[in-house]
This record gives sequence, C-alpha cells and structure tokens, in this order.
Amino acid sequence: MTAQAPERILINGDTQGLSEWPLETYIGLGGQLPELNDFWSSANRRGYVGTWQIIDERLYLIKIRAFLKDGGFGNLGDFFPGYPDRVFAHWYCGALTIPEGKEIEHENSEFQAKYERDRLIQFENGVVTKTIIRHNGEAPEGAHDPFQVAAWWQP
Amino acid sequence: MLDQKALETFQPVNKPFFDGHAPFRVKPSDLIKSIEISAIEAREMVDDPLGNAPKQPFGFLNSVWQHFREGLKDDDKLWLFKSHHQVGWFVNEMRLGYARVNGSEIESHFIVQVIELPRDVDKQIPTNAMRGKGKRK
Repeated sequence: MTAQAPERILINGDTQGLSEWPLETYIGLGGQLPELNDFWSSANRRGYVGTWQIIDERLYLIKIRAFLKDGGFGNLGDFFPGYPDRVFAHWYCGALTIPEGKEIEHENSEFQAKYERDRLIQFENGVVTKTIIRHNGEAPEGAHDPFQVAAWWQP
Repeated sequence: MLDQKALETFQPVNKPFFDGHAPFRVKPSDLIKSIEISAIEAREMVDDPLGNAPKQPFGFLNSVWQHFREGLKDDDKLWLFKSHHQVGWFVNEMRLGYARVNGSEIESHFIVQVIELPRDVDKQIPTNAMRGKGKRK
C-alpha cells in the first residue's frame, strides 16, 4: 500500500506530520462530510488533508484541503458549515502521535516508519489529558526528519 | 468498496465501523448503569470557550444523537455501556456510549468514544482506533 499523506499539526512553531486521522473518528461516529473524490491520489485515499493545532490544551482543526466529488477544492466551511475558521475536535479521544527526531527505520507503508522519538498526546473529548515522550533509539547519520516526510505530499 | 446502504445492513444506529469482523454488539455485561436522557445531554454538552463548536449535546454530532433519540420508544431505558471489541489483527478497541434497552433486550446503541487499546499497555498510552475506519456518508 502506498504510504499515505499524513495529517499535519502546528506545534511549537513547526508543522509536523500526524500518525492519526482524527477526522475519521468524526466520520465513524456518524458525522457527515461533503462527498469527496476518492481517486484524488493513491497517496491520499481519505480524500483530504487536515491541519490541526492545540490551543489551550484543546484540539482544533484549523484548515482542510479536500478534492470534492463535484469538482474543486473544499475548505473548512464546506466540512463544517458556519465554522470556516476553526473547529473544536470534541469527538476525539485517544492519542495523537507526533514523530520527532530523525528517521530510524523507513517503511514505504502506512505509518510504519520509526523516528527517534514519538510525542504521544492523549485526549479526552478533544482536551489534552496527558503527554509523554517515547524514545525509540538513535538514527543513523544522514537520516531525514519527520517534517520532510510530512511535507512530501502537497494538496 | 461497500457503500453506505450495504454498511447499514450490517450495522445498527450510529454505525460502528465495518472491519471484516463480527458486527459490534453491546453485551449485557457491558452495561454499567441506567441513565436518563436529561443526564446524558447534560454530561455530553459541548461548550468550547473559543466558540468553535455548537453549544449543544454532542456538539457537531448532535444530529446523530437526535436521530438515535427519535428511535426511542416510551418503555425503552438508556444505559451507559463500555465494551471491548476486536477490529483487526492485534487491534482491540474500547467503545463507550449509550445503549437502548427494552426489557432484557439491547435494541441499539449510540457510540460516543472509540479508543484503540495498545498491544502493550505498559509501553504507551492508547491511540485512536479510527485511522481509516470511518465510512463517509
């Protein structure tokens, strides 16, 4: 399976890739999205790329780029009418994994690459409850960082 | 790929996610306590200080909740439940929500939280299970 374009998160002034897709939780719980073009790219089967941010210990979706089924690109207002600028992800429970440091092992499959560290942020109904750093080891010389990986696929 | 109609034949209200395994069902042993609608709506009220979500029970998912409510009969009881469900190789989820119970039958359910349980609980905190599991309407 082609490696999938990650969601992005603004954290500590940087854009990082996310290993999770928080909007899929919303869909799974019954939330409705506009119809998307499923054939946008084999590197983006979900049909969108969202950008997330944690503000005051809460998770927000601040931007989304999607290829709509009826043509054209969709934005946050198309997904959440009346909320074009920012959406509180109150539906999200569990953790977000933000890779940090250099890449230790590369896998061209879905989220299998391993980095020096993972920042695991746990949420309860969209609110941060816990953050831990998991250390995975040391990368070889010349390894690239997660941001390069996160940025490779531009909608 | 299955479409939504096909999914609905497998799944009850507020569909859990088709995953190739047995359809998710709330078991009697999953039921925790009986709870009134008013209490549910109070505890599930979303109130974002930045105003970036509707101030109503279940926030953006309120319409899903209303659909569930419309299916309730007069003699139904709602129960809080917590279930474990296997969704893939080595993947287990904890699902929390409200079950509609009539007599001794669990008629349907409304899922509020889905949390993937880690393979090794000592190594990490739970991650979310929904990667790629949602089904767009």
